[in-house]
Amino acid sequence: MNQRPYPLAAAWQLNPVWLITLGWVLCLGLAVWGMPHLEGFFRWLEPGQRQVIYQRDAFAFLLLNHMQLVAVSAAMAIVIGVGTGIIVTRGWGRDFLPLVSQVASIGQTFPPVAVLALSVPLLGFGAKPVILSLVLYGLLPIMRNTLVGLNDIDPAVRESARGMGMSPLQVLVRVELPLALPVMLAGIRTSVTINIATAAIGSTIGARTLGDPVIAGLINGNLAYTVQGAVLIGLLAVTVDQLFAAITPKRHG
Amino acid sequence: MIELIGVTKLFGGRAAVRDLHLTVPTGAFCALVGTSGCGKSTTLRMINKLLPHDGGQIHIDGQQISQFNEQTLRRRIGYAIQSTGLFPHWTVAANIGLVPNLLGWPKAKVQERTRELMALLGLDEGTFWHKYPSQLSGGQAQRVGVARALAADPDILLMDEPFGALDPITREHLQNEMLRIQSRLRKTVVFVTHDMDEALKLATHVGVMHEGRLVQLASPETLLRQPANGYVESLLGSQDRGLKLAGLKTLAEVVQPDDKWIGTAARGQTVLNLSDSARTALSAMLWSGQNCLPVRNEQGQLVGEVTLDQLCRLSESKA
Amino acid sequence: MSVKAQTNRVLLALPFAALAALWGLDFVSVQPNRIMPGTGQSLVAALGWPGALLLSGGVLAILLNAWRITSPRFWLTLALATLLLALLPLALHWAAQRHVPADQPIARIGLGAGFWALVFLLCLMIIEVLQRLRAGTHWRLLVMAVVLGSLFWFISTGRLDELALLREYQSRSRQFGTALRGHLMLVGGAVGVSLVMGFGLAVQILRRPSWQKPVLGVLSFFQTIPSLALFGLLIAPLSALSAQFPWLQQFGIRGIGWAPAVLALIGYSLLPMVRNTWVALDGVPAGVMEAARGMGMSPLQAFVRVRLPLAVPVVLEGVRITTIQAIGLTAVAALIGAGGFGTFIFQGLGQAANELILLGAIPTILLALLADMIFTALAALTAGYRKEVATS
Repeated sequence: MNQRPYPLAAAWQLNPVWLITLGWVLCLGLAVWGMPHLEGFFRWLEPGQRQVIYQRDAFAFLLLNHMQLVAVSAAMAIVIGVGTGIIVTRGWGRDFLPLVSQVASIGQTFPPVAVLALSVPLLGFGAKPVILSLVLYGLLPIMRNTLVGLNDIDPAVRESARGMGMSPLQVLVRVELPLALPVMLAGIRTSVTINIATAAIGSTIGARTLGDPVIAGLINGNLAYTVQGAVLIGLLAVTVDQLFAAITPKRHG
Repeated sequence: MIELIGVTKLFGGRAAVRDLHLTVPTGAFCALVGTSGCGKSTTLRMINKLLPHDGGQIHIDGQQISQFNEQTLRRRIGYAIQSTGLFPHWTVAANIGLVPNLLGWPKAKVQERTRELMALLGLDEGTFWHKYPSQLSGGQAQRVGVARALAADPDILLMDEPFGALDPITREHLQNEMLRIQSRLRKTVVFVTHDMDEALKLATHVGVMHEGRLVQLASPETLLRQPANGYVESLLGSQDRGLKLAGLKTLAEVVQPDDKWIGTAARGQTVLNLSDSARTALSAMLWSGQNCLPVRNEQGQLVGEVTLDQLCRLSESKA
Repeated sequence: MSVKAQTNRVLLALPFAALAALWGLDFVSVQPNRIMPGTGQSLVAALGWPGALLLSGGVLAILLNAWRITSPRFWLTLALATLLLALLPLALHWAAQRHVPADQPIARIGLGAGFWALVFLLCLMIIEVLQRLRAGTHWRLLVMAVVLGSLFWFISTGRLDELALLREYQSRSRQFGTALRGHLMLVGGAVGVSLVMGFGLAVQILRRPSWQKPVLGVLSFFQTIPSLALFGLLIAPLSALSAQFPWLQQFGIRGIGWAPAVLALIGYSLLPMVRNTWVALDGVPAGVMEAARGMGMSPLQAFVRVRLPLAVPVVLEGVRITTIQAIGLTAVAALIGAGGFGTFIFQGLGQAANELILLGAIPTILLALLADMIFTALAALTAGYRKEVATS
């Protein structure tokens, strides 16, 4: 049989997408490890500065911290977003469906930077306000796509699932969620992409991320710092995006 | 046996079904016919508790359905719908094995049952086992839908316009399959359709519904001969009722097989089968210009002949 | 527009939350000057009992009205919520009169969490009611006009001068104007350029479908790169360029400033622009184009008079997405010295001055919402009589 099993099993078959992903991961690792060894290049780029390699924190530390920030907030946003999406599509929660879907789409017009900035008067400086705004903002695409995914399921499928004697929980877990998964994954992908970018800006409010070298470079007029941070942020974003491309299941049709 | 006693269903204060009395004996094939919005699908969906009923009682084999847990009830009742409702993320085999799996059958038994059903519905195991619903044609998907409904060998089968979305040729093919399967399995079937011809062809009992009421419940022949009112008549189509009636009769009911015919050769013309309907015979006569045609049995031997006169009398009798 | 008499759980939950926020959180804070942190004031402390009860009474009325609500009573809730929102400036005025003596020109009133929660929840109530009533755009505009009208009247008559946000504004009203102009010009420039370029690319893709994958691939790769990184990466080549050709600096093309900002903004804007324009042009039913050609239109006529007009609503959707995105990204561009409202945000963050942050963040949000409204309305206007195409 040349049919691909559906859905996640497909991801584990060796696939060119996985090779590309692996390539990006290697690139990122190499860049983190090798950045201090490129002193010659950065000295050429910024001849006027005494120090051309960002020293305050190790790049690996900043990378891990950045990823941790995004991962924690993504996990929270997924739980809240998917949970809300499920609650408002069944039982008494359905009353809240119109409002929630409206808020999800209006909320996405808010610029992420503004949300980030508004969290400071609330929570002060540090990682906490960054996580709050990452969760709040990252929530919206996940919630919206969960709603779209659940909504797009052929009513006949849900009807027949019930008609065959599946319990509401079985219908949700075995039919609705697997069918909505590709759309939900797309929402999570959007959310994480935005949050990697926002977390970088988060270093202006005291979170320690890969944005630190960029900001430090801009403040001190040290182009080398800025480039080091920017390259790493860009690589991280592309790598994670590629990872999502790899795990997104292909639909049959 | 399914009994509906004074069943009523309200949608926002409006009665979609009112005071419906309907008994479907064990092994009967009951078709509910009517225009869209007449309450036939609602009635069907109340039987497996997909919709709660607001008044009256529904009994299955003498027990009120309100006493059953709804999931247990539904796993005992086969259910097939128009757009099949196959799970797009499961293979054909997984779809068919759904209810047995829900009932916790051992894996080997589920597989065996799935094989059995694919054979029954004429789905080649090698071709279809690993296919996904999106890779099937409409007719194939509908076969899988019927197989899935039959999977746990339920006594009762509910079908909601299962062949409604198919092209006429595929539909007729599946109707014949349905007749064949029903003659073997003898399930108690409630079958919703808006196609009167389909109902007359398949059902032993035809219930005509109009504006939430059961207007008439009768055998196909009685329905054709004695429609309860103008509405039933309009559904039957007043002009070709004779043809429809003829369609219900096989030549076996008209021709007395006589051994004296055996061995004689047909004179190079149209030959009818005993299993053909009187309607087919009439059509053959119109086409060939003969008013008398020979008839043969399943073995291909001539056993008698049928005349136009006989066919005409067929429609008058018992009038 | 008839709505069944049914208890609306949303309109029970929202006012309940609003009451909890009003009584549980600080309504305003009072600051003796710009530097000192404010002291929080509860609702009663801020407004006194009459004001506190009046405000709570209004919210309570909405809560009670949700019980077995009917269509006419939805309108009542809409009116109540709008009225409350429109009267909030008055509440702030009262609070200012109670807590800021006239002889302290630098004392100021900050907005508390309770106030913001109330505004947010009232907005949610209005959104909910407008949706349940299926009220048209003109109702939405009317509500907004009432609320904003009241706000501007209170501001322009000087009744809200004690508000920290306004004090902050007054001390830099000239910079505010410059920031607004800068923000609009960056956004307008980037969106305008990307509209023209995006249109060209979309037409190319339409003509040569083999271009679709590479073009969209490259553009979505751009889209993936975080703004801070792209801004940072553009500085190096641009400063090298301007070092090489000093005359470029006369036009403001340097490593930092508006040049890398505009380049990055255009890069980000191209993807939504190209994708929507292409989808729009491609989505015109083949039958319609066939008919146009069959009637004897030249290819150019068919394109300009049939394909293009039918595609406009979806193209406008692309412009909407692009504009909103550009408004947000321009705020980030302040980090590389491009100006705009982001300047206030990052200055505020640097000085830990909350009101200055708000002075940058709120106008940015308002600009985005305004752009959203304008382009949604435009798309609806152009799609009015051809819904079937706009849905593609």
